[in-house]
Amino acid sequence: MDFVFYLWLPLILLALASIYKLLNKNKDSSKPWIRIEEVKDNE
Amino acid sequence: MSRHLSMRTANPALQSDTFRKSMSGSIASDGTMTINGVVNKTGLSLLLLIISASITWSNPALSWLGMVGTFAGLILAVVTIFKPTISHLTVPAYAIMQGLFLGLISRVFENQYPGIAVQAIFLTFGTLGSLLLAYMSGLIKATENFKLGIFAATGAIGVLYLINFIMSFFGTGIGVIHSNSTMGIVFSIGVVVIAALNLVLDFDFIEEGAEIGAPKYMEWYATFGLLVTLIWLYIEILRLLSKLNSRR
Repeated sequence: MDFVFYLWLPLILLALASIYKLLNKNKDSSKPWIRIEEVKDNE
Repeated sequence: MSRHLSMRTANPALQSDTFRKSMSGSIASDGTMTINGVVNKTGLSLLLLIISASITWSNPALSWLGMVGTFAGLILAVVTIFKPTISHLTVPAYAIMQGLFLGLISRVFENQYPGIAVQAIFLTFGTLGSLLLAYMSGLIKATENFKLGIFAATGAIGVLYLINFIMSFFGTGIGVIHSNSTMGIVFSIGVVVIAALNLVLDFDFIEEGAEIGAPKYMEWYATFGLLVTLIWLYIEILRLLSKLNSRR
């Protein structure tokens, strides 16, 4: 295989890992659509 | 903000006290540095660089212009470092001069190994893109230890190149720098990696400047830092590709 492919490989992997992290970061920080709160007995 | 305050970068243009110096003298009258401003100025500078590179690339007879660009670029770089307030004048001129130089050396490499210049250009911008993504996602963070490591490694490469330059006057040199042996290629890959990681320090410098509200002219100065790293990266990739091609 062409050696230029091996030079691109780490760049592609780094970009994919970054995109994966960006997507997961957004997933973590997103607020839930519905918030369920505990209701005390006497309320 | 404190994340950036003890700034350490290997790029001679982007040192820890650069912002302090820029803010101590005068209050910015025409606004403050923004990331968008740096992006626009970098785009404009790269456009100027590509246009001037096309002159020496397409006219081999104008190789003297490439030599002029080399020395003028060096002088303009020194002026920019010592007088950042006029970087709106020196940085576009620096981009044009370096373009003339890059057009010439790209043509020299291209004549030896056809197709090498295009590969180097794509790899340079590919590296810029993937490291920008990695920085934005937080995958690579410019921590103090990271900065220290890149600073030390870049300094070591600088010293090695300086020794090689001095040795060249006596008709010798450090073999591994120019050799296409396995060690020579490993060395080149290492230098490319260090040059690429310098981009992360540049991104950190730009982010810090925008956060602390550095003067507007620092947008040009940050552009200059980014250009220096990109040009170094391109030359090192060109050198690595030529070593790999020569083994075919």
